[in-house]
Amino acid sequence: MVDDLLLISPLLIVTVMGLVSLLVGVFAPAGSFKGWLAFLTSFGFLAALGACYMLWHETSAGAAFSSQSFHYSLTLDHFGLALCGVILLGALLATLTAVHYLPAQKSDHAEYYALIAFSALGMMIMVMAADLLTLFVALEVMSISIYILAGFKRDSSFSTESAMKYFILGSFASAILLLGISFTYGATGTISMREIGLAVAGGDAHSELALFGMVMLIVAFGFKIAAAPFHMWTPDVYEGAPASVTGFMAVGVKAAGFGALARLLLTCFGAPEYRDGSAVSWETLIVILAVISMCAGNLMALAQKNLKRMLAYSAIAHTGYLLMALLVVPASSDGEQALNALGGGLVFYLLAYTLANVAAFGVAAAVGARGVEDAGEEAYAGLAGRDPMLAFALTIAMLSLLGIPLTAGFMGKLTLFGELLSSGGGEYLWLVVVAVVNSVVSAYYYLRVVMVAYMQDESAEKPIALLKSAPLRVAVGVAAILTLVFGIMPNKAINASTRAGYSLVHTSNPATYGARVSAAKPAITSTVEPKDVAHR
Amino acid sequence: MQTGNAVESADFFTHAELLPWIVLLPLLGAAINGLFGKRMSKGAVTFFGVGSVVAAFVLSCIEVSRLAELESGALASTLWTWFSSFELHIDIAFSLDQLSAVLLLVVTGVGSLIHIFSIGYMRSDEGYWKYFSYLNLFMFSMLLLILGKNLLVLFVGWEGVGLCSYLLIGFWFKDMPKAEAGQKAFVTNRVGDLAFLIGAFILLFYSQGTLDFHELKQTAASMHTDQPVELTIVCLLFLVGACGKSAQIPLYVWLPDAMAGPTPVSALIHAATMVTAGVYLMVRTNFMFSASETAMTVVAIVGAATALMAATIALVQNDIKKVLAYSTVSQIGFMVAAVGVGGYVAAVFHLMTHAFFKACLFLGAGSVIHALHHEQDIRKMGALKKKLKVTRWSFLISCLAIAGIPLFSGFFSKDEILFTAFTTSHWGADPKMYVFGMLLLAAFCTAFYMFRLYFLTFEGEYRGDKHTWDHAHEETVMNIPLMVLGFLAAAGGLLGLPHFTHAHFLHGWLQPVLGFVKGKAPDGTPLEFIQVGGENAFTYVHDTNTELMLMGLSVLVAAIGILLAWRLYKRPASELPKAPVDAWWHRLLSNKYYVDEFYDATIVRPLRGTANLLHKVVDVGLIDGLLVKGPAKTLGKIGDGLRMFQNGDVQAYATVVVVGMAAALFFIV
Repeated sequence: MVDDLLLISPLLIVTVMGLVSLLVGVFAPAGSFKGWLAFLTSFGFLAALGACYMLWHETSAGAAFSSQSFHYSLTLDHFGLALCGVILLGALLATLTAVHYLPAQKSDHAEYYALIAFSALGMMIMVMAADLLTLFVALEVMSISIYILAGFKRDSSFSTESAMKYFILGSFASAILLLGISFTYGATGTISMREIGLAVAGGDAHSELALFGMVMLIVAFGFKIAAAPFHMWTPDVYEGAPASVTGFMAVGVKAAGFGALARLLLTCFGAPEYRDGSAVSWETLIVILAVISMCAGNLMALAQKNLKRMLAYSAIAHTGYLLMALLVVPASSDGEQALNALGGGLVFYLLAYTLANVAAFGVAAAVGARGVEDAGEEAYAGLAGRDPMLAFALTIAMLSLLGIPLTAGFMGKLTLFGELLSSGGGEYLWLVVVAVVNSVVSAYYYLRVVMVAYMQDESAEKPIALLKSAPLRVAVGVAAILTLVFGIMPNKAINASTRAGYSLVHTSNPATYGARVSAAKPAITSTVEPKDVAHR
Repeated sequence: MQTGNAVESADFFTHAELLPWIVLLPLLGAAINGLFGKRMSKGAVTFFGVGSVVAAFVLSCIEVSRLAELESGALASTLWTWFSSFELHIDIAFSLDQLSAVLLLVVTGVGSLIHIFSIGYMRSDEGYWKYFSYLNLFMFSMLLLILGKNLLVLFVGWEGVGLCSYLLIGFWFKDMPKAEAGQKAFVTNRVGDLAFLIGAFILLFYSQGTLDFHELKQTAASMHTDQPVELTIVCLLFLVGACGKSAQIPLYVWLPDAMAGPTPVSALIHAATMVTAGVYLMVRTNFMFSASETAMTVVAIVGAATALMAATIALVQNDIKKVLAYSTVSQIGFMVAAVGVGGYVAAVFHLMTHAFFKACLFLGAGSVIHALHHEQDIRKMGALKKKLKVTRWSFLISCLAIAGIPLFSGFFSKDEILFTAFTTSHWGADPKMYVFGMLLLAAFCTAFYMFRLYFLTFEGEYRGDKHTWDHAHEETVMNIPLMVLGFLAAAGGLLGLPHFTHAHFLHGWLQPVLGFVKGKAPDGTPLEFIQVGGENAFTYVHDTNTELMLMGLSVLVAAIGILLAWRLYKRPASELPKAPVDAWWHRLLSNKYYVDEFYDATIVRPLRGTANLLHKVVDVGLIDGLLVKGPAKTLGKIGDGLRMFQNGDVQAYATVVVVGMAAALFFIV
């Protein structure tokens, strides 16, 4: 029991940090500088990151929750830990960008850091959740915190409007999610993902109901990860929310959403007849979402002049690329070909995406902090002259999002596309071509940012003072440097990411549905007790 | 198969510890100048900026001499494993074989000279350190491209040079039109890169996880028998990639615009090195191209058509750099056409001589522009031979070389291309005569427009303003590179004397990479073959009489071109012929066949239109317009929170979600 607390230490650390910030909010005088809390919170994130790192090595040695502790509501595997790591890294860097940004926005409240911590907590539980109710509660913990954060600039009607929109539409998505959970429960009689998977694969489930549930779950998560056509909220909220929040939600929500969706689809609906069966399949659905997302995102981004809004459409486009990772069937995951494992693309791509976005939104926070919240072109025109370091970091971020070699973004695209090609026997070549064409189109608007930052003169009528903030510069600089490091020496990270993807196969049941090649209905052993299978 | 390859690779390559330093030195120079250059003295900036490239050249010479001593195989050095996932295993590794050796010496050698030239050209510029930092960064990428042991390292360099050229065009000028020219270059290049990437992905699919050139040979051989169509597709995609980088039809439009950059940059990037990367790629993957007859035919046609088209456009240009730009496009067309008819040696040979004389021409143009206070219009020049002696002579030599006058370098290389086009058969088909014809016509145009340029610039009467004339002068530091390049432009052809002399050094040097097999025709004519899968892909006929005959023909054509230019343009200012600006052909040529307009109408505007339409319909329309009564987007106009609930905005979004979900449910259930 006590050991199990050690196993959730990352979650505990983050929770404690959130509570501390809340307490400070109660006791500290209203007008005082709260930036030091950011350092405290970041330290907490760093400690949680360290805990994740330790658990990563423990996990391979066989650490697992004992059955009574959380009653199978959490899964401890490399996949969850890796995504926790990505989320924590994003949270850590995004928190640092807020230190001087919030006072400049006249919204320096201690609750900010508490909310960041709680939403990070929700994200981490999301990627570790093993049953649908835990998943739902975690998602709400995350979402509600983010709703508040999006409207954190209380005196700005723009910010509150976006928060309100996000809240209403988010509640709508939550309703769909709950409906999906209910359908799935109705079809299988359980909320445990693993048992749903067993029931679905064994043909014990009411297939119509299960399908309804599956589609609704995909739609609900499609909303969270901003997949078109469920993306409508994204540009408004990204633009309206404070830049430091947008940076955090752009990376955190996406990582958590993709983690949960991947686990859900592969564990619950990994059975071949649900995955790529002739009558019904979520693979087809994912392909459609991917194509619409990347095309719509890229095309709309072309017309954007505002950095934050452009990044919102770019986020939609990247959702499209990332969705492709769900289609990858690794050729071998520890010697067996298994449908319910992921390749190395997803986690690494999310890592690259996180770093680039943190850097980009960090710059957006720095240029848009004074005066109105605005990251239009005039805000960062001639940035190179005013602050070469920020301009350089922005360039790296744009190149990484665009996928230029020697940046992490290139390696992410390469791994993802390469894996998809080799996994499906070439059936998805067309999809890879669509994705590559899209990434070429994206050159136009990403490079435009670089061009404006370097080649346009500072606008004369509306000179905007840069936010002077050492922590922000550190965060942006670290993100840019890591982007280069993971582009030049990505091997370790890709290996870890591959391992994370493979680990899904163990946490769902490897014996249940195995090789895609022998797609015959697998034997189901309903007598197996939950604790016997790899429920770590 | 894979382990077998690996063992063979290990035997094939000899370790070379200096190789990475050739690549890293320029990077080091770029880093030092980029980080500390602002605070360093000009001397220090020069030391690191120029010194790193010269040092790389010295190291290159050492390594190439080591390569020459090897009995077989090539030099290689692996830095670290870039990544390995699944079966894919990619190293950051460099290799130096006979082909990359030629390119390496040209790039570092010509690069060094251009760096030295830049000392004088950029002396008074406040961005001196920045300039050298970018230039070194470019050298780094270019060397990565040349020395990359596998397709992916090459691709890194490939993207890198594109990016650096974009930076060098754009960073220099602080106005948007020029920056947009840079962006046009980059986006056009990306179209080529896209094709390249897709080709590489397809290749990866068949090559079992390797992209090493050495191992791709087996892949190409097996694809030739099993997947000939796929191989052709890969080759064509690589061709499109090469078209982007090497400015060939249909992607050549960016190069003339790229002339906005400083002239030494044009010399280095847009004449001698980067733009030949496409040709290098095709020669590097010759084993794939040789196997595909369709792809080769397309390559030959693209090359020859570009050579002719660009040469005709160059006839009517009046900007000294634009003439040279179109000339570059045209000359690279020659190289691509050479690849297309199987003349890999000729292509590399012409690549080399072109680097010499075109760099010399560009630097000469730079010297002229520098002397005349950034005047680029040749109608306002003339008689400059009195002021710029070294420039004039080196320019003249290079003009003779590019026109193909015997004993100058361009004569030998261009002649070999024409000879190959005339005699070589691919898979037993007849030689491609139409390629020969188009190239010969292009050669005629080349001689004419180059000497039109020469006579208008250096001979006749001066037509500009007097003040500029009085101040026009040359600089020693700029003269030295001109003299060296002028010498190379004159003598570089000796590396590839005609075949009947049996002293074609380059041919023997490249043999290990290209794999010629000697043979004889029944009547005793010496033949050579390139074999693919045991069959003769190319048959080269080395017939002395034909060679001499063709030589005479091309000299005749060049001489006519030069004489015509002499008659028309070596005159006093008042007697110069007026350009027939109203003639249909003149308008067609000076508007560059309306290709830019065509692209604008068919690609740029529809794409931008779609984006704007989406923007209008979805962004503006849905949010601000149709459904919204009170405009919610514009900051100042937002009312209280309540109004937001009524404006239909959120409902519209929710409706889309529901419709999406309904569609998904309908689709799946």
